[in-house]
Amino acid sequence: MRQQAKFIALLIFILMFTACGQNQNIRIGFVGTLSGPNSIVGISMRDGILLKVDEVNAAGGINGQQIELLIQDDLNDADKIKSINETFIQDGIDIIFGHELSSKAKPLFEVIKDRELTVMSPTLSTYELSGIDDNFFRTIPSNYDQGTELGNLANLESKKTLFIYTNANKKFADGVNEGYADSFSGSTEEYPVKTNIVDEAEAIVDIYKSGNFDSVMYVMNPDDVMYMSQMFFKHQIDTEIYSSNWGMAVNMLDKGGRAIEGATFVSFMGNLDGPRYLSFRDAYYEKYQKEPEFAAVYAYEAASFLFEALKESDSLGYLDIKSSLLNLGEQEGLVSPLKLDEFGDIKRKLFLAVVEDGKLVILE
Amino acid sequence: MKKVSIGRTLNLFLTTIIVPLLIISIFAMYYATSFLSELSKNNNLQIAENLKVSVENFFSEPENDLRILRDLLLLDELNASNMDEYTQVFEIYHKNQSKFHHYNIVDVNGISIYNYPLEQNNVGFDYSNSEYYNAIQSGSEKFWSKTHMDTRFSQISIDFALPLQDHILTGTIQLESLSNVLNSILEEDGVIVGITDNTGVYILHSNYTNVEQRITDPYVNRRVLNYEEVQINNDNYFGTNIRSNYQGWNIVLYEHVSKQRDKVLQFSIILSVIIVASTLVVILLGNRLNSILVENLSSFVNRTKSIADGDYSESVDESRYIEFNEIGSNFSLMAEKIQKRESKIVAQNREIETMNRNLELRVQERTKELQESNEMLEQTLSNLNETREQLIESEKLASLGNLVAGLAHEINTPLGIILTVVTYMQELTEKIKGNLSNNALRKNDLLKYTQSMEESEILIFDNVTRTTDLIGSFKLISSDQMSDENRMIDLVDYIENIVRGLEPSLKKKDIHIELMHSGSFEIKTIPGSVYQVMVNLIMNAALHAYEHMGGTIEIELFEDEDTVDVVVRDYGKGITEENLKRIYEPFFTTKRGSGGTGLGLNITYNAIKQSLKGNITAQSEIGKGTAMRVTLPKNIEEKKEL
Repeated sequence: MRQQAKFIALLIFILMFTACGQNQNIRIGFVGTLSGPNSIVGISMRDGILLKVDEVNAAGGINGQQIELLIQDDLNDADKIKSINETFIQDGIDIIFGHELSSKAKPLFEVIKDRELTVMSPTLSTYELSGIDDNFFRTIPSNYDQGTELGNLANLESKKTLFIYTNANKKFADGVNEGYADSFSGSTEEYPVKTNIVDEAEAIVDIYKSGNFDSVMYVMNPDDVMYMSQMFFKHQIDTEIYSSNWGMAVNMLDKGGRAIEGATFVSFMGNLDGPRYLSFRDAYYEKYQKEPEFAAVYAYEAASFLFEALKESDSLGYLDIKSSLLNLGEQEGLVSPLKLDEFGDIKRKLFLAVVEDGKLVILE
Repeated sequence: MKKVSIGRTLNLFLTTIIVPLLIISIFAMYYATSFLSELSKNNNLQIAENLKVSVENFFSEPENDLRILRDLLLLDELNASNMDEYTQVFEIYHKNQSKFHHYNIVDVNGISIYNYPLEQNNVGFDYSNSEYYNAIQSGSEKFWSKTHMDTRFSQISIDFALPLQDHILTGTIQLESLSNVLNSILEEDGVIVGITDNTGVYILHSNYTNVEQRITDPYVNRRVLNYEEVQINNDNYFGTNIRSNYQGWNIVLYEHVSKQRDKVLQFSIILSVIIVASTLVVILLGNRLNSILVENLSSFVNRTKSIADGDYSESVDESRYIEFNEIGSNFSLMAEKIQKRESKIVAQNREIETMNRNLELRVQERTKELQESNEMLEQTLSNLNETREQLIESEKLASLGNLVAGLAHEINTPLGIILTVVTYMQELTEKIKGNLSNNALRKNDLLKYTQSMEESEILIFDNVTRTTDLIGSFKLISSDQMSDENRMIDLVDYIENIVRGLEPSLKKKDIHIELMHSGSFEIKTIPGSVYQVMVNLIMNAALHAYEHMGGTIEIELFEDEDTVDVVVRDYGKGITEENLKRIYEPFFTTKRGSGGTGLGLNITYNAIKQSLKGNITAQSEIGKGTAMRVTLPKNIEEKKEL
């Protein structure tokens, strides 16, 4: 009887037994605007890092640890950005990736300042953050440089530029505008889009018409860039179009039609014929069935940079990661080399791309 | 042998039921898991197929609707200059359909010429770079766009385009509206259902956020999932995806592994409960059965002890079980019979003991008798052996008698001649003496007398010589008879002498002996034994083969390399086959009443085998005669035995 009871107990034990594996993953929080009108950059950024995470995990992870990406949509809302980051920190996440817009720098820093974690952004380029020894790292130069690059170009073609930007991302826009103004010999006027481009486009057209402008400078998302350009086209206004990197989207040029023809975008997308970029592009296309946007490229590059540093880092503690990131030296990027300075900032060569026959062409 | 109790055996028996039950259950669980998995797989595939059909139906409706709109526009032969009429048609049409959110007409150059609702304000926008424009311009009869963010409404949308003469009519569907329609399918617990466009981006998803965030399904662009375990957002799902022929859209379905596990767990719990319950029932029943058996059997155990102790009076306790009561009554009956049988056995034992005692006495007596008989038999045997020796000796003497008779006959003739001659000489001498005394003796008479005397002397000398020779040979044979020593003999001469010795008695029986040989055979042997053998064989033939009828006995000699064969052959009545096998047995004779001892051939056999180291064989045929072949070694010292 006792033996039978033992046997049954053993059987029940076996039946109930389930193996519980320990969570050995490296958890990385991802924050970006993934829905709504400003989601194009965030979505591309997410798709870019996801591709890299897939590749690294498929190859066995980082020192045997798989990467777990925890994706959160901040709805382009400052409070949401703060709460997501705070939750990540509370959950013991050591690394946060994302925050594509400069407008997010303020709420982000309110949370991460003096906190023990590593934050990396592939696109957050507000120059205000440059030259600070902190826990924030980025693989994109400051927005000021973008403005400078475009201003230099505008000197050749324009005399008066209407600066149209999304007011919600004023931080970023100010940097670009400042750079533009500093290098542009002509005059500029600003128009901040405070509600949405659809509602304000007609008013902008009127301002343009009445202001004797010959060029526009966009610091808006691609949807808005395309819409505003269509509005100029509709009103048969022939203007030089300049756009920050934010407005560049290879998959959305169809929305611009002939309205966006000849527009010039500034970007870091240089050598698109190199084997590293082509290999990435093929993998991206296989996964997403579309061409990679700049944000996807930058995110992939930044993630590669971060993961290389993690391989060398003694722990996931931010000091170890920081040390590892700063000591990593120059890395081959997809489109150009990457190297962090002592403040975790980067210097990269900028390129200009022009829309020709509905396609972006990199200018030499 | 190790002894175990019934209770323990019963437990073992129960274990043999429970263990297979458990093993079967484990297998059942294993196969049930596979079965459930297969079931879920088919179920998911079916859901996906249903969804595919639903979606295809869902999207075929707006296609048809927009075609109707196009037909209406064409019917009215509308043109861009008459916007109000356009608006009337659109208003009527839009009220009667629910899918499209807004519409657009672009001209041959890709420029928007009309919007509905009118407040959209994108007339004049250029769509010449759009996919639908290029597709319709290239001859497509319809085109579904990829999903895109509609800037004006901040909604993920999808456009359907149809050619409208040289213009293009598009209707835009906001994907959020689809979710409501397919909610029943999309909202199953633990299941993610989604539809992607041809780039793998969700246009429909259980969680609409996935559509809003333009999430690309992680698998549709890479491989077909057929209920395989995959990871979605770091969680494990069984994924199924099927490609719709419709616009290259995909239907994806991810069932959380826990749902499958829940099913297995639910099944396992039910099965476990059944196993545990049935095990408990088996154990309880087994134990109850055990206690019933042990309780009832212990009563029998006590009873058997009592019976073993000789107490037949105690009865088995009354049981509530018919079978045990039956066994109990049979047991009592058995005890009763055993008691009777035991009494009977005791009585029989006593009788047997008495008989045994008598038997012992009888055995003793009988043993004594047997001992006496044995002694008598031993005495008889001793006498018999003595008699046998005497008989053998008699046989020897008998053959010697034959020899003596032959000798007497042989020397009788010369002695008779000598007597006659002596008598004649006496007469002559008396006559001479008378003539002398009468002086009538003449010279001539004296000469005649002298001559007669000389002749008589010669005659006497010859016969005396002959007699001496005969006695010499008799002496030799008789001395051989008394000796077992071997020496060289000429076998032919030796046999001739024997034959000569026997001839007188054989002549009386009218037996004629013919000796056939090819010369002399010198052999080293024991002559006395040869003599005895030959006399026995010849006399046997004379006595048994011809039975006073007379006849010929042939003695033929052959020589081999190391042996000599002597064949004694008669042409008498022969020996039956049955008797032929027994002729060498001692005391075997067909002439018992006529004075035969039955030892002749036995002695002969032994003499040949043992003394002469030879061999004897016999061949016979009834009515034709018998041939006895004696094989002797040429040198008895070199030959042990043939």
